[in-house]
Amino acid sequence: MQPAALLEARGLVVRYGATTALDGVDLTLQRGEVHAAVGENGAGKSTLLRVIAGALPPTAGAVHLREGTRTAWVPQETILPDDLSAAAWMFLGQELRTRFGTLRERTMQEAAALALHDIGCRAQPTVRVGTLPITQRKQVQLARALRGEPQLLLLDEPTAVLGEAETAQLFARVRALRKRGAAVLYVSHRLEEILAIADRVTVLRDGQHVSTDAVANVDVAVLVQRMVGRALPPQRHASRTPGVVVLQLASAATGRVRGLSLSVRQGEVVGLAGLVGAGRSAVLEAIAGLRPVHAGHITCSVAPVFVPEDRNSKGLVASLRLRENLFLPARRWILRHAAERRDTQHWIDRLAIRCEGTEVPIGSLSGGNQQKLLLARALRHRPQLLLLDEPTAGVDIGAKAEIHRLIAELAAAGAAILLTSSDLPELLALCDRIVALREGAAVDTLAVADASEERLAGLITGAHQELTVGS
Amino acid sequence: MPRLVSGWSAAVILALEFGFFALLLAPHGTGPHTFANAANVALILKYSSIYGIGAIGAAMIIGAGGIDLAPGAVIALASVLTGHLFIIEGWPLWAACSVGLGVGFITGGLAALLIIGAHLPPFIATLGVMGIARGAAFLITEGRFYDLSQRLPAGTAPLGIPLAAWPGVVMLAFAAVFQFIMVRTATGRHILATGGNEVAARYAGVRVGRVQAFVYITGGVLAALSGVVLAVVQGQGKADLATGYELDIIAAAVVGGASLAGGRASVAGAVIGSLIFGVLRNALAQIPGGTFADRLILGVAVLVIVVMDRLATREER
Repeated sequence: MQPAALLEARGLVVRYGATTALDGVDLTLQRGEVHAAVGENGAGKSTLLRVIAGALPPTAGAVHLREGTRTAWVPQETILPDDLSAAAWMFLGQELRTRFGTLRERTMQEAAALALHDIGCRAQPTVRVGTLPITQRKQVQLARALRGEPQLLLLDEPTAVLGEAETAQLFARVRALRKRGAAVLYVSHRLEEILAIADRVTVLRDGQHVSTDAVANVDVAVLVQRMVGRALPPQRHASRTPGVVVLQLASAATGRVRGLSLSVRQGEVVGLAGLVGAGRSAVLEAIAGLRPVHAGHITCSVAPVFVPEDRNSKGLVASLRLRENLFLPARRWILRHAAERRDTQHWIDRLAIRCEGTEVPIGSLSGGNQQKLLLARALRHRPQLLLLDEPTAGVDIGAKAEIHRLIAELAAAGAAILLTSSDLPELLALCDRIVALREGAAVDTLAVADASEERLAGLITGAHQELTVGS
Repeated sequence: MPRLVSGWSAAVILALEFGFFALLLAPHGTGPHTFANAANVALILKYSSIYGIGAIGAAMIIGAGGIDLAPGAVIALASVLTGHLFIIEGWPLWAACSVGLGVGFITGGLAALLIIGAHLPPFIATLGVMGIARGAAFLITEGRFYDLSQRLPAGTAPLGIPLAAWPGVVMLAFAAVFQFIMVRTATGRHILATGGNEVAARYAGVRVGRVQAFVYITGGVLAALSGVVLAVVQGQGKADLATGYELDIIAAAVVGGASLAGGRASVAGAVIGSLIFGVLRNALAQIPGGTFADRLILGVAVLVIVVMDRLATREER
């Protein structure tokens, strides 16, 4: 192995039966490098990470890592034991003990508080992880990995559930690690972020290595072209004429949110922007009737259809098959399996859901396809008012474009759509109007023509100066 | 690889088990087979039904992500109430039986109220109901024992079915009905969705409260049915009846494919599970000293079956 290299992977092959997830991939990680891996879903990025982390033995090939390298792996899924405190989770398996073997609780809590502060997480170390919103759970996961000062850090979609501020904090910590000579392997769909943080970027497609370049030598368009094997046309913002108002909030209060007024018309796409904890999900849940409203009114002239965030814990039922998840709740009391199979196939075709059939367990679908399934479930109801909570979180660029196109089609057909997103460019691409929330109150409502990423970021964080994104 | 433990594989295990004991207990020389004859099979069916009827309910409750510890106590209470009304109060049999069934409705409803309304964990809620039902049974009997079979004319055959065949018939009939519900109706899918991921089911629009009320009340009524059948057919109406049956009922459901994590269950499998244990008990009784090993072998059998299932499905995960 080369002297400056921390890790060398050669000829990695991973096969599950007939599926080949990795087909002879080589990778070298240098000390003091942030190395990004990009590709569509199914390209093999997460699999590569798993093999390097040692969680998945490859079918062929080998990984050479310097002896004694401290490795930390933060997987994509944010599933943590609900009943442990953040500090307990962060020190799980690595507890600090006294001479007599008892736990040094206070020391661990202080260290945890420090680690959480470093990553920009406002949660207290004594709080039970299950009570935290997903963004803070992800931050706790990251804090655990970073606390041990790893020499090799493996990150799988770390910013999928993080907002702008949290991402900036993570990047600061990653840069600090890099300065100390650690290597970071960073898997992500967010190409702009990758260009901001990484030194080199490897493109994978269909389990094969396509290219490895210094980040300075590539741009988003080139990466996308290599990832999908063809050039994607740029997103164009269609103009629509909105119809009547179908959703009206008048000084509504629910959860942390208070005094919120907004309206959505047919054919309109309205976005809710805000940091984690600003109350975006609470608003959607209240409109869907899943949360009580303690002041003001919410009036819908049509039935809202709600697609929750966090598809694994709030959206799909893992023990049910694809078809059964789609038809939940079932249409009629006596189920007609053949008719359901037919209709399921129709939805699979319509939304281009990549799967091995209608009866597969949903665990066999990639994140993007799971999200499309969740959308299909909502679309079954032919919604005239659609509430989408983070519709493209953790979804690859190809599926994301397809979902955006779908949302535009639905609006053009007359549906009213209210969506939340942590991805400001996505809001700018999709919405006609964007409501900026901060700590439960609407700060401003912008028409998309007047909005920019900097302006939105400023509104949702409360900063009055113009913010610049990236290093 | 398909799950080892499911309706189908449970049937295979049952067939193998029966064949094994048929060989083991084959008579030496000429003479009637004490195990593999029609009368013994009928006996197995009859005794298995006491658990089997309750196991139908347990399968649905476990499928919905809950658990029920009350069946044993409800069986006792229903049998005792039916006995008391028929013998002491002189009610007509059909009226006494109806009240017995009503007991299951009440205990199931109480469990549902505690779980859905007061948000108690099912383990605790049904533990409480178990205590209340058992206590009520003792209060009613004051230590007495009711034997209905003496009061019924010989050859009583309600609906043309001989009394001794009723347990088996009831179990198979209700198994068919609820198997259909679980596999071919929306109710069944909603039950398994609730057990698989209650939050996701709720967000999808499933009325989780109704689903839970359905399974707990049905479970209660089925347990009460078991008690009524016991009282009328076996002539057993006493307060300490069916102690511990809830664990055998749960074991039968698990052997039949139910996952205690929720989201997976089979009514047919649960019934077959109760038959697997029924065959085991029956065969052990015919082996000298076998009854002493009864509970031990049953416990080991449950572990073996479930562990084998885990190993077989490890590939999936």
